[in-house]
Amino acid sequence: MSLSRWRRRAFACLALLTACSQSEPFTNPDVTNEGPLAPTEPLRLTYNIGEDSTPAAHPDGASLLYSFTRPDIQGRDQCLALLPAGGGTQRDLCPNSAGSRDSTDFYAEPAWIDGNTIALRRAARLIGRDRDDYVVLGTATAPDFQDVTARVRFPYSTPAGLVHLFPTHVTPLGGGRVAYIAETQLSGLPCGNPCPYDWTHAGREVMVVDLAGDGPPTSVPGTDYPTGLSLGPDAGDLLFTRADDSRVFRRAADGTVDVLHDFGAVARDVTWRAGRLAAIVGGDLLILTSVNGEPSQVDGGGTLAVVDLATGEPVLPADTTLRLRRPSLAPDGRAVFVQTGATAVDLYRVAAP
Amino acid sequence: MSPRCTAWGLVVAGIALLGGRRVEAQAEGAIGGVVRDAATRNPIAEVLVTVDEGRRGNVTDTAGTYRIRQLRSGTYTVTVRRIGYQPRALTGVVVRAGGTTPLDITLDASPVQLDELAVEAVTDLLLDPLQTQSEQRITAQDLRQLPVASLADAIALTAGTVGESFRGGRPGQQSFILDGLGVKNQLDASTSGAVLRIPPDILTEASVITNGFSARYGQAISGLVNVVTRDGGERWSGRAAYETDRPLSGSADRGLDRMVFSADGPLVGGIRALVGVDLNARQDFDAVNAPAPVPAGDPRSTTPYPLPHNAGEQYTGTAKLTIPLGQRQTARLFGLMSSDQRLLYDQAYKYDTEFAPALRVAGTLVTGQWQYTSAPTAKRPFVLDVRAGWFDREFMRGTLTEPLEQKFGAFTFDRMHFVGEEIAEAQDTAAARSAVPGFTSPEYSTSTPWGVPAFFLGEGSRGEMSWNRFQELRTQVDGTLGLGRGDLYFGGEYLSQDVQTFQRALASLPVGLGDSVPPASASAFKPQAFALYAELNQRLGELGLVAGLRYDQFDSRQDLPGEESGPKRQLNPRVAVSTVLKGATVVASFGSFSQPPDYQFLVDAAFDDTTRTGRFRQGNPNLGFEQAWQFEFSVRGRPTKDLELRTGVYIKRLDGLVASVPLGFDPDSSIFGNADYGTVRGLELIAERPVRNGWGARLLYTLQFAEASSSSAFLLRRSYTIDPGTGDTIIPARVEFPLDYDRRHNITAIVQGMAPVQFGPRVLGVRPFAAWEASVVMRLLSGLPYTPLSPPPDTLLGAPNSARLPWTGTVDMLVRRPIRLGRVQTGLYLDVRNVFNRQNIVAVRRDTGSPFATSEMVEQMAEAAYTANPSAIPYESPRYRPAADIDGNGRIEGRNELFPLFLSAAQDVSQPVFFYGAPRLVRLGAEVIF
Repeated sequence: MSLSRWRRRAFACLALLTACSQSEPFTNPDVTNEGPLAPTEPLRLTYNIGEDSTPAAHPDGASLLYSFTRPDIQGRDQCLALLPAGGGTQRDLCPNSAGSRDSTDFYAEPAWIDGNTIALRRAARLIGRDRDDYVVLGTATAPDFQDVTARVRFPYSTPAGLVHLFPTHVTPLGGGRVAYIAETQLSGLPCGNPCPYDWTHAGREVMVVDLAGDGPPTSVPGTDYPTGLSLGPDAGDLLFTRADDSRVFRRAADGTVDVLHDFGAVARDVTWRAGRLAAIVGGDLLILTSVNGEPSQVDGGGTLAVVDLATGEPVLPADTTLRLRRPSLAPDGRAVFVQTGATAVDLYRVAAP
Repeated sequence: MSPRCTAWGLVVAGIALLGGRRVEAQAEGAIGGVVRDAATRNPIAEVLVTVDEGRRGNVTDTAGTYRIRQLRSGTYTVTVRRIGYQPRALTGVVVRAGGTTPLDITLDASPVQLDELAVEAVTDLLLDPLQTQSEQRITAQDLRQLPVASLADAIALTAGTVGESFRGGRPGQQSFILDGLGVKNQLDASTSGAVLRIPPDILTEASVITNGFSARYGQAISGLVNVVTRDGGERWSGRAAYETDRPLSGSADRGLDRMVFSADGPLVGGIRALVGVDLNARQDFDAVNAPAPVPAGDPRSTTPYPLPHNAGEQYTGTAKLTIPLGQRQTARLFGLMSSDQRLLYDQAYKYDTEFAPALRVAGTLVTGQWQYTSAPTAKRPFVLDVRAGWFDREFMRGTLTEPLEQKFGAFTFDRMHFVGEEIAEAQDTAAARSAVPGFTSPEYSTSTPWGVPAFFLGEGSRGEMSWNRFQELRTQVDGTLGLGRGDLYFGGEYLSQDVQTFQRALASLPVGLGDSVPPASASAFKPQAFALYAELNQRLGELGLVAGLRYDQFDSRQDLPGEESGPKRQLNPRVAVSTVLKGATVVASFGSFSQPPDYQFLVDAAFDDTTRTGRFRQGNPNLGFEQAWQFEFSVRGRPTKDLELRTGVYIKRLDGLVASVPLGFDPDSSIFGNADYGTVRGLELIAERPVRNGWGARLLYTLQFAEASSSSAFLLRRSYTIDPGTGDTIIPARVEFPLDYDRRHNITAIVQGMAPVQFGPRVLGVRPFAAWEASVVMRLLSGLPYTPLSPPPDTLLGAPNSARLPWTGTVDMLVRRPIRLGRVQTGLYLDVRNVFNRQNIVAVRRDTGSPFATSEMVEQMAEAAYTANPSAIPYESPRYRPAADIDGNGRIEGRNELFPLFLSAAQDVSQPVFFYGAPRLVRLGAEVIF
């Protein structure tokens, strides 16, 4: 055999040696679930024994951020979780720090400012206490949303002498501003431990705060006793509902307030996206009035109503089989993410074709 | 000491007292003998015997004897000249480190000046009476022809060696000698392996010396590993090789890649250079031959062999310059850098490997040697060596900041970075009081096939930060003075060391949280050590005598508050006598040895301890030397032309070894002390048929009894025993138990063979069966001891180390086919370890005596885990496993659905993994020799 053939063979052997793939390191099994457990409408997304609440559809529509209660740990922390919009396995976003072990931590009311940042309510209380030791409205960023930059510390007193205890219905307005419903009461009704924040609505007024600034939140005039809050069709619009009222109000940028839609029964938890308006209507609702005439609602859930604002026609037939709360319209308005009522709180996706 | 031991000692000591022993400097050997007239057989005086082109040599005395000292191991041509005789050149004279090559020469008288007559020398090292050491050599040829890939592999082939334990001693009781200069990790050699790896291709030879080694060497009580590197040659040559198992599949493919390169040759001005590179990586670095996983669904069932997070990579680079400084002086500069990076498999992090631990160890050694040699004609030959070495070793273990990206096989060509590394290196205990940024606390994994919150961890690491650094500047002066038929060796060394340590546990939590997080510990001190020695080596006829004395001193310079620890001193006499009796060389030796303790025992230690004896030891800056006395009697001879036999018996007394001494009843209240003592007795037998006529064989057998009062510095040594008469506790008692490395029987057989170049028929112009080289190593080892415990609460069942593991056995094989391509020598080789893939059990659970937990234990584990976490698992949870949701309601709830998952998880986590030895490992290699 000629030398050149030997060389060719030797090089071929070497090439063969190096070209083969070596064993890959051990890889974990894929343990995530794709899609819902059962593909029936409405699509049930969660089965947690604890409460899953306040869903917020990601701006890209692919996922859902929400709060869930962990019944498996002593403090029953309320963590955030990300869930594929079509159902599947959630990604837990729970606190993991030394200081989190002796307290119940709340990450609630998430609302997307952009695709990477959320505004939320962050609270904590020592295990065993019935009042929060720490409540803030702040912002947090992906991927784990754990480090919350506090903007408003609760409770605080307003110039009008009101004490705001905590925020709900956190709604980014754009331009670095966030609106929220300032709550002034907690219910004395039995509601488990801890009591879900928004089970009892006692919204006093809508407040707006500039995230970049350091000034106090300012009250939005004409928004007394709100029970729902959303952006509206036009820039600067703020939509809200009021206790014991079936109408959705629109407060325009110039401060004028008009009625955008009337659902015909007590409406709350209003939300608007892509020309569609959704709210919870009717249902299990207890209206309370304090001795000084201030209303509040104990909400056991109602019917999800979605209307096309262009036609004023309902998109969905009235379905009273589920008592629902806190709807969040998908960015295209073609689906609504919603939680069930006060007991067995789980998340559903309702198609709105 | 037992009466039997005393008798042994007296017998051997009696023999030893007859004389002494001799030792050459361990990097060098000698050539010695008598020059006689070929016709009259009379000795000839004034004959000039030289090597190394006349640079080194000696002149015969009136008895015709000569001795050329301090020759680096290698092969020499000896030139012999005297007026009136025909000059001779004897080629192929092999010099071994630490030995004297006997070479008697005859000269033919010639009245006229004739040309030099070149002949091949015939030497016999076996019967050399000046060879008194129990030394087992691994030559460069062995390293090439045997299935060994590293120096550690080669050392494992010597009799009486168990891992890093020599003759039953603890790891770390040996010292490493590189080209005559000692190198030792004095900080934590007993618990951490060596980091410096010498590429085998640059070695001339390596040897393990386990008896009374020269007074020139200290810092060891069990043995020396002596390594001699090559000098650069007179023309450029080298070797490049690539080894891999990539072409294999399944269990044979462990993602191995190894690249080796070495070259040496002349530079300018007579300077010669040697460089070596050895890069080694494997996906499954600590491979185990564990059985298939028990629970169905374990991912290792489908890819049964590679463990997760078990990759490792080793980088070694070395360079050496040999600089002649005229006829009489030589300088050598040597540098070596080694780096190990390992991902460490942790059963609890099997499914969340990013939080599993990793370690990085880096070592640097830079040495310089200046040697002066007197003229060959000097009446009193004199050699002076001045050596200096800088050794730096840094260790870091913890959690990676981010996984490294593998770029070629398991090679990352990147440096591992650890969470909190800056704090550790700065030894900032104040900053480490808080939760260390970057660490998160572990929670039960959601990534397991079982889902349930039990046993397996994720979300965060264990929070370990362990860093240390050891630096040493060593200067050593060695002199050799020729005294006719003897030599005087003398010299000393001075060591200046720098020790820094840092440890922090549970770093995701602040110190003191719930009294469960201990504070970070750090230490920094600068010990010094000093030694002087003198050794006389004298030959009286057929009797070789050596007597040496070594003085050692060390000072930790880390004083206790209000108390100075001061220097510790030790005198170590060493003597040996050897002679040739009826064709056999008989050697008796006695030596006293000492070593400073690992400096890690001078500072506080916190550690995990499964024997429930505590987890904290107070450091003791006042620790003294660990000591040993050894008697040995050995015989070697050649009963037939092709058979060499070597046998020896020895007894070694150990004393003052570091052990944990209780300060009270609380097991955490204890301190390190020089409290352990023990005895090692043994018999070694080596039969060898040197490679001749195409084959050779070697059989090694060791019978050994190694007992002491404590196997580890971390075990509490309570000095009590039970009176057999009264049943009362007696304090104290010198009760001894088998040491952890007490391997009773160690049998190794090595067979080598090679086919002649012209062997076999010629087919298509080549001889396919010619030039093949093959070697097989068979090992049969009795089991090491272990201590049986009852199931929790872990009560001792019987005496410590009263049970034994089963025997283990392996067969390794190397086959090589050299191939000549034109003027280039190439080759292909196949190296297979554990050819028959025998499943060797190297450890067992102390509570069952087998690698497995019982089914009852597993069920108890599962039950406890279920009771602690009975919560339902909803569909959207990452813990949800559809197969377990029997009723399909979107929740795994209730015992019926949850418990099987907990049971599988318990079976998974209790699987034996590291209870088994290595599986079959195959490597295919291609090499080019130029």
